[in-house]
Amino acid sequence: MSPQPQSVVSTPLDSLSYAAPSRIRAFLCPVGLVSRPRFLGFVSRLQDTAIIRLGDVTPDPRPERVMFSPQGFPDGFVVYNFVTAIDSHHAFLEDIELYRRTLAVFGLADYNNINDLTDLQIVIGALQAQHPQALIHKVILFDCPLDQNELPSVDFICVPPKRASRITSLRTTLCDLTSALLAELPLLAKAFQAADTIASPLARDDDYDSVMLTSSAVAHSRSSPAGSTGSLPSTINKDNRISYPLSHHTERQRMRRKGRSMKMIANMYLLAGRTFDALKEYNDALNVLKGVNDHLWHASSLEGIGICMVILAHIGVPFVIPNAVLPPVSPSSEKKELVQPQLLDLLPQMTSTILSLYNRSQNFPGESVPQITYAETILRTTNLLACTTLAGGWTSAARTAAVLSRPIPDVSIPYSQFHHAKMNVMNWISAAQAVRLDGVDAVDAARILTGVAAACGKLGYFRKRGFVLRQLVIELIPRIFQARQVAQNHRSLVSRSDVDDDEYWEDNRDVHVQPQDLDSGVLAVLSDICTVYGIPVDSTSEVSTFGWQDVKTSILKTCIGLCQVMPDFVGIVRYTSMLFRFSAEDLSVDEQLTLIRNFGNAYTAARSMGVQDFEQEYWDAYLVRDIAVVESSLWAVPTLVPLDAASSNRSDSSGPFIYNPFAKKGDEEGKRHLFVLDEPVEFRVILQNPFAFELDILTMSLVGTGTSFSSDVISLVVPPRKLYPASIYLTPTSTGVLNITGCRFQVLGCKETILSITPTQAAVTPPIRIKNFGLDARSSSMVKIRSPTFVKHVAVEVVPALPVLRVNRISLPHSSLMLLEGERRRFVIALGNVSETVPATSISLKFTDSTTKSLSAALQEDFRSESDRYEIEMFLHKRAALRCVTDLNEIKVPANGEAEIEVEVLGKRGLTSASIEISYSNVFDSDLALTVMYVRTLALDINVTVNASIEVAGCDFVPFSYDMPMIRTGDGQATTTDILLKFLDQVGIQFEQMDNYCLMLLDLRNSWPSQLAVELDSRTGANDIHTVKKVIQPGHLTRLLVPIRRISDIDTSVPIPSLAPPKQFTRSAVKSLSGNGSRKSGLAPEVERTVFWYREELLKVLDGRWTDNISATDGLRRGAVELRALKISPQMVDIIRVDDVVVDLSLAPSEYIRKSGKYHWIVEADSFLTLVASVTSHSTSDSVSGILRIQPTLRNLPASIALDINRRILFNGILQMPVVDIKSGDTRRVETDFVVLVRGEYEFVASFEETTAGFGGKRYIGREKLVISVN
Amino acid sequence: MSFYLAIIGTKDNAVYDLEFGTYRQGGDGRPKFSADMKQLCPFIVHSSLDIVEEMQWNTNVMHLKVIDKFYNYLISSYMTAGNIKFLLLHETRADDVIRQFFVDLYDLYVKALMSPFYSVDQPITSAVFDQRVKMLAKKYL
Repeated sequence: MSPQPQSVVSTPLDSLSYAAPSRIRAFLCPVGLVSRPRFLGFVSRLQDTAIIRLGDVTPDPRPERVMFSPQGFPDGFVVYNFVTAIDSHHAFLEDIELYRRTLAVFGLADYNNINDLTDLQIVIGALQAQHPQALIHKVILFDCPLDQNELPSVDFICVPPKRASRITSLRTTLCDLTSALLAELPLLAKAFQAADTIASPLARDDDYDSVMLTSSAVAHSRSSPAGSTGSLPSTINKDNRISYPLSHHTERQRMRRKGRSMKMIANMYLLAGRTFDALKEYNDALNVLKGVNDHLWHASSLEGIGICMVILAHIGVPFVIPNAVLPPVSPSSEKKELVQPQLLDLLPQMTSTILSLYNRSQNFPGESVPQITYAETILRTTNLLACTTLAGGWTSAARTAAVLSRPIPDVSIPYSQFHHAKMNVMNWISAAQAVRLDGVDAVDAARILTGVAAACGKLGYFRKRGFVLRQLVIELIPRIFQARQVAQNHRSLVSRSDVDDDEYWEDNRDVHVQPQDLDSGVLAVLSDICTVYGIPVDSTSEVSTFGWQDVKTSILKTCIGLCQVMPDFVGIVRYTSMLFRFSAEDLSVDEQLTLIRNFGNAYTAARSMGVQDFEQEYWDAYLVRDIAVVESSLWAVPTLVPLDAASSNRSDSSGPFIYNPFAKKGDEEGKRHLFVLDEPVEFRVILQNPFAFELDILTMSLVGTGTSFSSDVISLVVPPRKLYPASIYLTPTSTGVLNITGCRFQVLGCKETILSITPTQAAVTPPIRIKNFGLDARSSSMVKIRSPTFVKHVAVEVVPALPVLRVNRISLPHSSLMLLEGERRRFVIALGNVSETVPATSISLKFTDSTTKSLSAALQEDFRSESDRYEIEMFLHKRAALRCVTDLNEIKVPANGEAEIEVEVLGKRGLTSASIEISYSNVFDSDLALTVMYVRTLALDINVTVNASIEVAGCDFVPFSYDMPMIRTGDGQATTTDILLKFLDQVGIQFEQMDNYCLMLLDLRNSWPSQLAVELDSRTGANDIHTVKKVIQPGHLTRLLVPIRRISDIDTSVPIPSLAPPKQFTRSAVKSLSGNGSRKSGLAPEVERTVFWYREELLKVLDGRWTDNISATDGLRRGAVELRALKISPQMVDIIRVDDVVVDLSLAPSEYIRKSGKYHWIVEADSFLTLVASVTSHSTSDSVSGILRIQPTLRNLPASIALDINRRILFNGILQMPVVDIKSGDTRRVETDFVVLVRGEYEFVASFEETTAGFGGKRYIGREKLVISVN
Repeated sequence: MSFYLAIIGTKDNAVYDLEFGTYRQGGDGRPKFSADMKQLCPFIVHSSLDIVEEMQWNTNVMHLKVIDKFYNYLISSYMTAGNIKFLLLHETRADDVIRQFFVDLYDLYVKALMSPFYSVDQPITSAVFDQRVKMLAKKYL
């Protein structure tokens, strides 16, 4: 609640303090060459010594000048009101309120700038002519080293320099001046006493005979401190004011004149510091004026009494309160004693009386009170009460403040008392505010409203003050405009007749408010208002949630309005930008367009006047919505490749888990763009313009932190209401990490600003602190609009210079290639290095092709059996469509050079296109310490057409059996056995060894429209390769007979492997087993495994090729037959495989037997024969034990009869016997003697049942039956 | 008679404002402010905040009664527990009626405040709130 801290000395006295009417107005003007700061310095020195005690003043010795002699009241003091402007505006009030009259004129001269003192003599004369109403005219020579006696005239006063002078020397000078002034006052008093009529301020001519100046109709508002240079204010001749006696007066008028003249004398006593005399004189005047109902002068006298009492109370001299001012009800004796608190109560009452008298005076035309007087009376009282409120009562501090406008020290006051006093003051403020300003001109209105505002400010009611100041601005705008219009018309009469809008800007340049006026001028008031209403004036990086949005908008518009009438171009620019910042959404399109036009004009006008630095930033903090790197194909983006094992295997070697969800994801680094040193990169900056006008961006460049770079500087125009992408280039100049944080802008009319990237206009959420109140809440409601949470950075890494490769040519027409399935073809890629300086080394190739995707998708399907999955994985991982032939370690592309790479393509089913990714860098062998490498990639697409060639249509396996019918056809053709023997002979298999082989029937189809020669190799032994050759006509299906050596020694218990990278969780096969056959293969797992392993073994021994030497235009086409298309069933496996235990039957040689086939014997009946069963173990286990069973049957008979052999054959022994411990690879012979009793054909079948611990021993049955024909 | 009601948040911000007229004496509920006055209303109300903040420490009731005046207009105020200020610009003194109006308005405001989608100091844009305030105005003023 304390008033603003102010320096005690150099501020001018408050013109609305209660005792202001007791001050002598002294006009200070510069004389000769005085610079502005020096002049202000002189004024300030004088103001320090504005209070002169009468005791220090030497009285004038002349007897006729003793009327206001300082000796009359040595305790009293004279207070100077030093002004630097003539208030000719209120000259009509000077009679009733003498303190408004300029009684002293002091010219202030700088001795250092004066050449000739005699010139100043002329100045004195000029001052006297210009200010005839003043009583003394003196020139004060500052910094004058001379002695007073050396000066040519007594009108010159000499003041030594500040350093040389004692503190009292200026005071002494002023005492002398005061003495002179007091000596002049009696003359003025005599003139008043002699005057016939003393007119009221608003008196009209017809009321009196004499000529009265009633009001200053012409506004002389702009009188500068150096007023002598401009047109002189019209001065009023003293003779005009006081008319001399005329012939006829009534008694009433005589008394009125007497009273008024006494009041004038009292005024003079008051000014002269003779306060006691003034009080007495006022009291006398009051009594006279009261009698004649001269309300205006009566009230004025009453006011004088109040002032006298306050000053006397301040001096501390006891005095008696005049009866006239005491309340009429109980003028008791004790109240006449000086009881100071009562004085405080009395003064507002007196003011009320004064105001009612003033109001009464309104009824008398010509005698009515001027608005300004009325308002100032209220304001003075308000001021007094405010002082006592702040000082906590009628203390000496309060009195000093009221009389001498001294600041009040902080005191602690009980709240309720303080509050009550404030409310009391508030009532008076309301009264002052209620003064109608309709007929009041700009100066008076400003004076009244600033008085009200000051009082509000004193009490700490800053919002009230803001409101009043706003009212002031609103009042001023039309008045200033009117005044300017008058001046404009005046000028345009001379220059041109019409002034249109555009010319406003031209015309007003010469009257523009200079920036130095901004410090303390009306524009500072605007800042003050803005602050109160929650518009932060200086802070541009924060947005305030404080304040009322509509009110803010309105205030800013008002500010712009005032700046336009002033005109203050910088102010227009400033407030328009603030309006756009805070309330753009409240403005209509038309308003925005008008504002921006005025903004541009004001900016241009201010620029042309030399204003260079505009302080406001661009108003939209969200201008940059996004910045992104433009990924163009022209600009080869380098990628990062970790070189050391630790970083490359980080993902799978960091723990026991293949997938670790807690592992740090590497995407942060992956997302960071990599730039190459010295190569320009394009950025796309998304700019927003939410306004209805085009945004003129003069310069825009990227800013960032980290390594150095150079950014292009562009200028552009953002269209209205658009998100506008702008393209800007940046060139990194050193390696390292670079953070692009935003852009540097200069928008037309604004200073250069750096704006961060704000992708989302984050909702401004201030901390909720509801218990903050008042204007203190402002500080807690500030929110940084560019706090890190809202801001985005674009992080890029600048890497060392890299080469740029380009495919110079490729040895394929149109990058296209036609292949047959299984065919391989090579082509050459020639790479050229565009870079001037950097060679390309460490080139690597990566291939992707169209089959990858479909195969990967097929793998994902859940229902695949293990073997199917292996098949797909085989094609995916092992059968690559493309392969690099050239040794890449040898390839280097020198700067500006070229190198060739050879690539082989395999015709794979489903291949339609392939892309080759060539990664390259400039890493040398010497850079072993590198942990990462930056590579660029070059992609190359080729189109491939794969046509079908030889397809496997199907296959079957046939065992070589000895049990073939021995049919000999009659006409000499070969029997089946002959054909077989012939075939065996061809393929080099002995008949006796035949059961080690089987026959594969392979159906091959030629899908290519040209004949193809097929060769199929089958490895039948370690060195024996049997080749089947056949030419297949287009579209034909041909069966090839391929002998296959039967396969043994396969461990089928090994699970089917997977070629894919390992997975952490694999599905249990057990579940599938127990399920109801959901596996698509439909086979039990062990059967599936068996089929799988035998097929793999089969594929190892088979190899197929085809050749087309007819249709191929570009040489011989050759390729492999895709034999993986073979499908084999478990039945086929039984044919291919060799059992673990082979049981073979034969007859021991004898004279009675004759062999007709390997397993066919012809014997005679009743002969003794020996059946030899040989059991051979091929098992992988060490030894095999089991039971050998021999089953004889009748041949070619139904089973019911066939088994009935009891009476036909006699066995010596049993047909089931144990055979134990057969070593692997051993053969055990078991012989059984028997006699066949009955002729016929018999069959013997042997089987071996393995005995193992537990159940389910395997059973092996002899492959061939032994057939015996008994004759 | 015309009224201007403003609910002011803790940061001098208008949470809600409404101009309305009386339904008494044949009024139609429409405000009859002049164009100048219409513009001035927020400023007058805003300038009395100083007094409200002064008064709130001097009493233990929420209704602060008439606290300020501007020419013929009076400003009544009600201070909620959450430092939200209800200010009513009116022309004639009617403390009791205005107190009832404020108490009911406080009820409405608290209900609005309880909305999970509303936080303190946000402008109230609810149409229902607006309608209910107008009904209150019709009932009391």
